Amino acid sequence: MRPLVNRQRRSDLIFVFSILIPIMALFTIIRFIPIGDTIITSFFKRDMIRPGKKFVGFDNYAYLFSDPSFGKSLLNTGFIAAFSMFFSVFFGLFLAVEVNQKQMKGLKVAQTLFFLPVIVSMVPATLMWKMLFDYNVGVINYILKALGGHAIDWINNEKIVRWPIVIISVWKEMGYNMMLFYVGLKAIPRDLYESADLDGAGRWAQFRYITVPQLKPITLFVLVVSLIKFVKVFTQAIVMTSGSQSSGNIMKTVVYYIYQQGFSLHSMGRASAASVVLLIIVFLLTWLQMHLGKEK
Amino acid sequence: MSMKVKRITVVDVILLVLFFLLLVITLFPLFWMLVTSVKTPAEINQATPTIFPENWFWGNYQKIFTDQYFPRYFLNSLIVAVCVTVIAVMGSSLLGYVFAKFQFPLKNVFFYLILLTIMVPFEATVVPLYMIVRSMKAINSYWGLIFPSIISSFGIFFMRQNMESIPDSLIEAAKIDGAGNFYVYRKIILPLSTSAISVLSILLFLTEWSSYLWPLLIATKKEMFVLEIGLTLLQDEYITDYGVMMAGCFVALIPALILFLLFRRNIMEGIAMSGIKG
Repeated sequence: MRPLVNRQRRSDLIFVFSILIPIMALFTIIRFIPIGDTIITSFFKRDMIRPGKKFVGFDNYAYLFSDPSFGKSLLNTGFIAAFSMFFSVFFGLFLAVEVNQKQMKGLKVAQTLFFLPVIVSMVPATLMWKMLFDYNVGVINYILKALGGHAIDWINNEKIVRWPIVIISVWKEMGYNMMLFYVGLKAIPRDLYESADLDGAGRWAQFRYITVPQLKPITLFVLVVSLIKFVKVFTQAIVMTSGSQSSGNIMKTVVYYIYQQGFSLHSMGRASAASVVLLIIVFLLTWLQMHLGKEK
Repeated sequence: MSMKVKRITVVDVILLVLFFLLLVITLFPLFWMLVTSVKTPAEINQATPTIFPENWFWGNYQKIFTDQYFPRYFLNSLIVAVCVTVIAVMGSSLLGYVFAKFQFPLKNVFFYLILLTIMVPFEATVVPLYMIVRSMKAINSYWGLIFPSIISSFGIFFMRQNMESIPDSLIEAAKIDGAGNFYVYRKIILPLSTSAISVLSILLFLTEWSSYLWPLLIATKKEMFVLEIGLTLLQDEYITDYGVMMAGCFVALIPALILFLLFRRNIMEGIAMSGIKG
């Protein structure tokens, strides 16, 4: 029996490593080296086109935090991420609770419809909303005017354009969060509600004292996952504010800053330093999520 | 036990109104895209918008399909998304099987290394990745567009989770009959993981279909643009011609819509489950 077991073991190991090695090699090229390289390059002055690099310590970071444009990028990203997270989680929870009620027919259909924006890719989604927000022919300004208000220049005003970007983000994410909460709601034992019914607890009381505490872990999870997603906001911001309908005053976010420093200004060091800042933000959020998740 | 009659309160009405308001907000942009795509430029630009087109106008779609590059963008997106999906699903299912069913040295180290990369945002590594692809002479090539996505750490994790539930006894029985590991993978593991594989395929396809930043960097020639980039160009080529833009958007949505119509439940539950597990 022994030699057979050994032979089996050996052929298993050959199988394992003939799959593991090529895939780990790809991981090394596609993920590990770029991650390490980003961190290392952030301490160098390095040009994307001309060869050669020079160690500059924390100069790139010092530059970032003295560059008003980076400050603005952080501020815009924080604004968009915080509001998008809040509204997409709030509405997602609301929709999940409503859809989960059994009294109304057609809710399954509504659930599917709410999910539709999730599969719409970001560029078409942004262009659709951009048309709605158009100064001259947009439906939103038409409604505002019909209600007796003024037309608003949604796209070309740097402060105002954050809101359309938040709205697009919420529109895309709401249905996804609804599904996460829906799975969470389904996991709450039915008999909790039944016994509450017997005790004469109303709907609000049931929501307050059963649903909310039971959903607490998943709510924290959804909050952090959404925030991580929105911290990387790029496509909706750039598409909304570039092109012929816009003044060309592009909404800067952290990812846009990386893109601009690296690919327009060819400064790899500064782009890498900004990348490391993004990396640290996402790591802190992930750590927070794991930490909060453990407490339960 | 007394049957309690549910009373409809003011709060119920308010919540219901909010629910339908959100439904309208969710659907309106899609509806407006569809109707705008069949309106004439004159009708789109008039002061009082019409809800349904006065005459159905197909000129926008004609412009899209006869555009010098638009069909090419569509084809490029399809090639890239299909290649990424096929390669990444193959790799994920093989390595998922390896992690789920084999013991080998440093297994946990490898697994946690892969898991760790899920946390690192792709956007934070584009600069060095671009340099690597440039040194491979893969700028403006399909290979360059595909390359960063051919491995999926999430996919490996997801497949391992699913394959762990396949009973070991099935695999051992086949091995006693003299089946090799690859044979077991093909004849037992794959057929038992079809639902996980289809969910993963759809997720990867949709993600790749909507990717924007990487193609923006890699494709500088129009022949290599994907749809997401091409659509933003329509803004400049057909200045404020929303009809053409919306026709383009709708065409770009068709593959995702078809997938959604066919696999609605799988997609919704799969995405929710994968979100929670991953």
